[in-house]
Amino acid sequence: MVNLGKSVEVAGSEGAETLDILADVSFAVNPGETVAIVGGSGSGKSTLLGLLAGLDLPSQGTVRIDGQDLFALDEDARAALRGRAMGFVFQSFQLLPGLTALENVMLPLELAGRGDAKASAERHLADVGLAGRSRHRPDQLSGGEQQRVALARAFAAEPRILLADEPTGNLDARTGAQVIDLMFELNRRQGASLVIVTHDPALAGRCGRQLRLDGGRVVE
Amino acid sequence: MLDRLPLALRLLAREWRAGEVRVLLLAVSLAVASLTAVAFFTDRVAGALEREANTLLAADLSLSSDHPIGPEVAAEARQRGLAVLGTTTFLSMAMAGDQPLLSGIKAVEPGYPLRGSLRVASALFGPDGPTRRLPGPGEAWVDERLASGLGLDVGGRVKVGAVTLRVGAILTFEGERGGNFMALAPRVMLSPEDLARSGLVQEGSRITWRLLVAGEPGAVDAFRGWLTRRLERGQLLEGVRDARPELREVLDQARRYLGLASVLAVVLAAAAAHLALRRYATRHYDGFALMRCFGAPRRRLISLHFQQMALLGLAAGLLGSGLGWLTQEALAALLGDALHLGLPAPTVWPLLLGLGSGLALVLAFSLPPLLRLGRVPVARVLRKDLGPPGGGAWLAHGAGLALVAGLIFQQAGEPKLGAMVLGGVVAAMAAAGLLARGLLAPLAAAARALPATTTPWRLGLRLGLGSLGRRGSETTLQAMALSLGLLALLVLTLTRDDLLDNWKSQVPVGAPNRFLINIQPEQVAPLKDYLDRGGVAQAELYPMARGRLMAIAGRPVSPADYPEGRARRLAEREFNLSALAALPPDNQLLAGRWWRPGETSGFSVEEGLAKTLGIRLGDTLEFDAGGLPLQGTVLSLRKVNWDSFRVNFFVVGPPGTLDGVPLSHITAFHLPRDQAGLLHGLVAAFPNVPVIDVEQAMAQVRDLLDRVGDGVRLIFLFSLGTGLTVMLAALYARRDERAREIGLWRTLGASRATVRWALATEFACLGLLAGAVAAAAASGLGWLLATRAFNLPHQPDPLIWLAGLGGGLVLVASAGLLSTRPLLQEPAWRVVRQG
Repeated sequence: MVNLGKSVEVAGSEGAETLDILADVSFAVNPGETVAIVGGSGSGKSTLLGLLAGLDLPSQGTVRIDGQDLFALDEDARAALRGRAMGFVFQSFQLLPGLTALENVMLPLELAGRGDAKASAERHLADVGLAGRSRHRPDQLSGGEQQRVALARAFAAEPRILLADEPTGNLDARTGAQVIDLMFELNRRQGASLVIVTHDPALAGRCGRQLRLDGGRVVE
Repeated sequence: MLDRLPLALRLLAREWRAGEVRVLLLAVSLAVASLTAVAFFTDRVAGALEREANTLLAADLSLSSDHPIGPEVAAEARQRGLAVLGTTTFLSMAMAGDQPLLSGIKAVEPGYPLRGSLRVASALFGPDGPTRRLPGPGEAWVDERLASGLGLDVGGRVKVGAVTLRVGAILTFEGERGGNFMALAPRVMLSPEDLARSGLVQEGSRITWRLLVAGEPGAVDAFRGWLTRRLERGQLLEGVRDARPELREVLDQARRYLGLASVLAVVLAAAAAHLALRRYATRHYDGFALMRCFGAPRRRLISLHFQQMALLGLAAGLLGSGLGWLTQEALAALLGDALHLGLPAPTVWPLLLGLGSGLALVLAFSLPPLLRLGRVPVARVLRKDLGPPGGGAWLAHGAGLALVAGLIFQQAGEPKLGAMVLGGVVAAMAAAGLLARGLLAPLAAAARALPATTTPWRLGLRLGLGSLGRRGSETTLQAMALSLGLLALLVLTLTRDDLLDNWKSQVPVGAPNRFLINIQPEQVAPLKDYLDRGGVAQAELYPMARGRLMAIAGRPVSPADYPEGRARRLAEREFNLSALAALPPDNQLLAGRWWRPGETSGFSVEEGLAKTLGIRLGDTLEFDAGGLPLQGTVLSLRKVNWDSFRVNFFVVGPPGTLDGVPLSHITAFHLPRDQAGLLHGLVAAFPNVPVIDVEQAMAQVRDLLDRVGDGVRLIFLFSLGTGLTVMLAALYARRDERAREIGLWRTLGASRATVRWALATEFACLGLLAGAVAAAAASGLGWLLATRAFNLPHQPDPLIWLAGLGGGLVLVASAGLLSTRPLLQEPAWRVVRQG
């Protein structure tokens, strides 16, 4: 359940002015539902995603996950909630350059103290078709492969909500389509809710619902 | 917290493999290695130097007594594992045939000397060599002075008391006598058995009994403490520093230099750790934000990083200490022969220091960057431009600074030296920071003002200056670190040169190695003539009279007035007085004035004597010189370098002072060893003039100075390595940014030549700036150290500016260009895409 507003102070010609990035954005995402957040550059898509994940703080409003007010929690509790419930896929993949594919997938599991980190990571790498590349580092993988490693990492934590920020933004159309197929397939298997920020109409079209943002408002 | 240690270890291993922590480990290990190597070496060199110096005492500790020393003292020393032996010395007549000569008789027990060795020749004025033997029963060793005085040679007979002994060897060197030869009588050395048979040791004889002790420094110190509390009247306990004050200064200077090198190693180690950890933290912003995004609590992440740093610090400490140990061991082995330094085994202390300081350095200096890392906003995963808010880390920085200050004072060994270096470093850092900040804006403006162009070097100049100006705080930090590295190198070079010059001038090549004394006035002309014909032209003959000090400023002088032993001995004894027209070249006027031409009254007094006896400028001194009163005002106080092996006097007056006083002359000259034959003729023509050979004593001091100098040079090499490491770390600090910048330039069409020019501009500016600051700071600190810590004459050297600016330019530009070469080889698009 989402009900959010985000504004920031900026220095204007008449002193400090308030710039609304998001205003009265309200929506709900049901378990297993797939939602695309679309809109032009600067429409507030990424800000919204950051708030959904509790990475950023809203000016007003809140996000409730299973009835829990995300912003009533302190930062570490929000982090713990993220660790339990959320998975992430980023436009720029966000793999740690020094680690192998396997280690990148293992990292969140290790941080959560899971003893089966390695086995689980290997399984999920196999799921994305990269069992043979587990010892390769990001700079030895193509863009599509890197994003598949990121998918394996996101799903390995078995999240109930997967948040994806322009997952195909850095990929060519064909590779992007393959990654999207894989993402939807994995999501179908795990039954997570999927929230994707994108300005790719094809990707948005595959989601069950689209929220269009314009000037910080939902125009749906 | 420690339950995460396996995870921390795993993560660290991954980081290591990825190359993330290699620079950090390398920088800290090298810094620790240098610190440890200096500490190891200081430990060993200081030990060796001390032991070396102790050959001048023939022992580590000497107890002299005017009555026999009780057996319990030797027993106690033996029980403490120390080597002990006794010597007995006194003045008596030695006879060859009917001819008597007042001699210093010395009986030594087996094992003498405990430090150093004696040298003997098998014929008078023949070639000599070291020996471990001692005179056996029925045998005596005599020195050249006694042999020439009595017309003896090896195989001859000398009578001491009731025994007649065969001359077994000519004693050419006895460390214990050192440079103090003139006050002593010619030597006869014999065995304790023959001494007993001589019947000379009787109640009432004026004999000096000595107990010599040597062993491990700790045990010697402890024994010294034990003995000091039990000293009886008439007993004197001496280490080499008490017995040979002229060498104290050299040893202190050497020790201080090693301290200076250690202190600078600490500062450099800290700078390397700071730079490397800063880079480490900056490179982990993304990973930290990502892990926070994945749900890891901030505290746990910081603690994980901290544990990794602790592990790394331990590893760096171990590696560095090991490296330091190996390096000094290798150098000791490699140069041991060349140095002739028998180094004592290293102690475990430097190893502990290395381990501890590696760990402490990494932990203390990782605190600010890790805390800053902890403030990286988690939203950075979505927006890469988000970094941690600045400022507020002063408290965290305090830990590192306190550690460095602590280490500085611990390593310096004396607060004054530590404070000077700390002050100099802080001043240089501040100057570098201010100068860099002040120059950045003009540089950026200059870059903008340059006309648009496509010529590679002009475009490169523009890009380079612009890049410097844009990265304000990073450039400032780099300039500070580079200045620090250069400052350390310059200060160590400067001080080393000052020290070596000073030591070299103490015993110059060609310094007099033979002294002739007791030359009668009527012998002056023929002797001069003889020496001239022998090719010894520079010999100058000084008049010399024996005088006893009767009164100072009207107060009669009595030994009883002086509680201190040395003062009492001086008050008792006769001084050598002389008359000189000009101040000798190795004397330095400290107070008052030298006499004007025509003045025939007045005295110039050696400062040490003046201090001991309480003589002040303007006091009237009265001497009894062979029954004649001699009176004058103290016109000046002089500093005399007693180690210079030139003829010097405690008290001198203007020419004419000694008119009418019974006097003899003394001269000193340099005689090459192969002309020793000249001496046979001299002894024959002037039988009353003893020849004193100070060649060995001089060689001993020169050798000591050489070894100390080599030690100083070695330590300097270590510091050079650390200084260069810090400079490399500073250049490495901006590598990631620079890689992106170069990628962007290249993508936008800059040629490799242009990029090279841009980098060259940037590094040259940094090098010049750092060089200028380092030269200025080194001049100041060098002067301060020379005059206030090392007691050296200091000449400002304009070459330091050339070295600073030139060295800065060449070192920084070449190292910078070399370190960025791989960046130029990488495909530009890849760098930009990854950024």
